[in-house]
Amino acid sequence: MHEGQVLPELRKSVTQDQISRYARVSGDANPIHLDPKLAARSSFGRIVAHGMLVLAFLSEMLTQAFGQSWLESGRLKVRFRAPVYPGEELVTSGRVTRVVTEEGGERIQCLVECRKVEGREVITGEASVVIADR
Amino acid sequence: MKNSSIIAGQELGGVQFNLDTPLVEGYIAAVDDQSGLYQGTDLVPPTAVAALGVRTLLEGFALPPGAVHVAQELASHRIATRGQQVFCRVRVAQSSQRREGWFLVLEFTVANDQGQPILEGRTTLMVPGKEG
Repeated sequence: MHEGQVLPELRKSVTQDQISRYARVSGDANPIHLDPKLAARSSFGRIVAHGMLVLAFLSEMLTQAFGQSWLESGRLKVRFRAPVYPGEELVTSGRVTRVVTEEGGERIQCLVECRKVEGREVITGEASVVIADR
Repeated sequence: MKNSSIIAGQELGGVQFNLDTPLVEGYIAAVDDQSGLYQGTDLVPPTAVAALGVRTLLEGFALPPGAVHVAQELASHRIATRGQQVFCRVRVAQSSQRREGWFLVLEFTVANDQGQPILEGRTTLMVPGKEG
């Protein structure tokens, strides 16, 4: 890994079926994710995907880039910038900003983001992971 | 629960989950994880562990349906594996009324049965509007 290196992008579609399945497995059955009538009265005006569902897409990208190291030592700090609605398509991306040598390995720091295909930012933030010396 | 009754320093502890295979596979299918890292292994995605932390804080503080997830921090300390029992603790780090609404910063730790942290998180939520 080197500074400036680009992480492999992921393209994801979000469906209502996926949001409903995520609600079941996560236990987050907030009606803004499931009930069109209640969601219509929320600040979003309609159903939105769970932020943690969209965050899982970023984590998948980092898993693909860093493998098991991501599970052992990954750190993520993000802001949720915009709601994601059922039917929308998203693209995750990332770039290595710094490589710091630490005892036992290298800490790789990255900027990461998730955008709607038309360009609007959904999540932005930073990630880091330690790649241990083998 | 009224927002104003959620006070910095409050804690919820010892909520137990079992990372059983149906839960983990259900999670991987729901988020459509195609990384392949979890196929044929007992590894658990860190965001699946984080989802348990978020579940604990949402249920523990009975947050209203309009709560908006504003920011999230996660830090993994060790790998979680299928079949493991984990324990989640949540602490209110900040609770404050601002112009846009009520802001809550909640910190959670998911630990193994030896008390070693697997994952720590810091969740910022905003509940729109002013309370009564």
